[in-house]
Amino acid sequence: MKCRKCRGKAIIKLYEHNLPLCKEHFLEFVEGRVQKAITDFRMVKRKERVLVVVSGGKDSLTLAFILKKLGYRISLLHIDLGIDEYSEISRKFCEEFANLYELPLQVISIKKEWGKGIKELARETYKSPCSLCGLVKRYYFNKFAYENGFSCVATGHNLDDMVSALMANLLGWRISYIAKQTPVLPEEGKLKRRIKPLVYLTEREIGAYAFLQGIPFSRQDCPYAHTASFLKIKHLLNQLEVSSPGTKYSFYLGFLKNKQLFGEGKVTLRECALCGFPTVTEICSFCKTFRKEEVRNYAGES
Amino acid sequence: MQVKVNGEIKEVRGKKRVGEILEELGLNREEVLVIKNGELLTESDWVEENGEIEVMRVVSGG
Repeated sequence: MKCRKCRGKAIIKLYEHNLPLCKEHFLEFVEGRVQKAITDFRMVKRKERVLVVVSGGKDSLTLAFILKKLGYRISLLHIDLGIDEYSEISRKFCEEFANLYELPLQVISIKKEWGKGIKELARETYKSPCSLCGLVKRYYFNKFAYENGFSCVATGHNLDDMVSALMANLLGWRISYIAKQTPVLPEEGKLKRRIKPLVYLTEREIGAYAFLQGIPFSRQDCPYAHTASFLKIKHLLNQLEVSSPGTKYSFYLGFLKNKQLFGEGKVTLRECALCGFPTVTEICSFCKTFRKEEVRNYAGES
Repeated sequence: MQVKVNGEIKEVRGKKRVGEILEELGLNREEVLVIKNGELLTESDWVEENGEIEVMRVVSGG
């Protein structure tokens, strides 16, 4: 198989684009797609400070690598969820990456903050580990970005993540969630802008890029990953993709073209009475989960 | 040939193209990368009967 650009030996074929590419042109393609997403959706300006949330996995570390290569001003944040060996290994990969590529890295440890990891906290709060994980990560990365003067938060969500979330929410007709599956969630008050520069890229493309660039990343699955319904939906979409290449890309582009059908997903935000961060209710979900005593006292006083 | 998948070694008989190997093992080309001697292979690449390859999963659930 020959590279479409230079007729050299192809090392990958991008079926959705019917495009075989050699190593050099594939790397160029991937970086080009990230820049295209940033430009198309006006995600961030070069002078702005970007906080990249890294988990230690291929997507977030590849995102950080490419943003740095493209000349953006980035810092890294890792949230250590305290899930035993899984979190220890994830953290090590983030630290190794930060050292290797000379990037500032801040680590927030849930165990240090609360004395326990996500598993124990999930049991105590009667929430699933996955929903608690999402709540905690969103709270801390927004808070850190706000308090440290970052213009936006960048996450490693890729095309597969976006279409599986879209499909999952469509199946349940969760309209407000569907509306939020956009590449940029704008800033609102203390809620910093969130950007997803990998939206035009599949997990396969990102994995191949990380491998070819020698980016060290964790290959382990979260011990709770098997409980995530998105994984089953990803698998279904990938089966469709094999029989009809381009399905995922068309599905997502179609959503972007027609997203006005789902409204703007806008809700009226206010400041949490306890922590001051954005919420739709008087007390935010994070405080309701983790500051029960203070919530009770507040309720008693009011 | 020996195919390493998720740390487990599977035996596949004969000389085959990567695409045929993935089909035989029930793997989806969208969810994996195939590596031989530190290089990526495409679906149309051949793997010899005595060859060794690794299949790396790229789908994350988190």
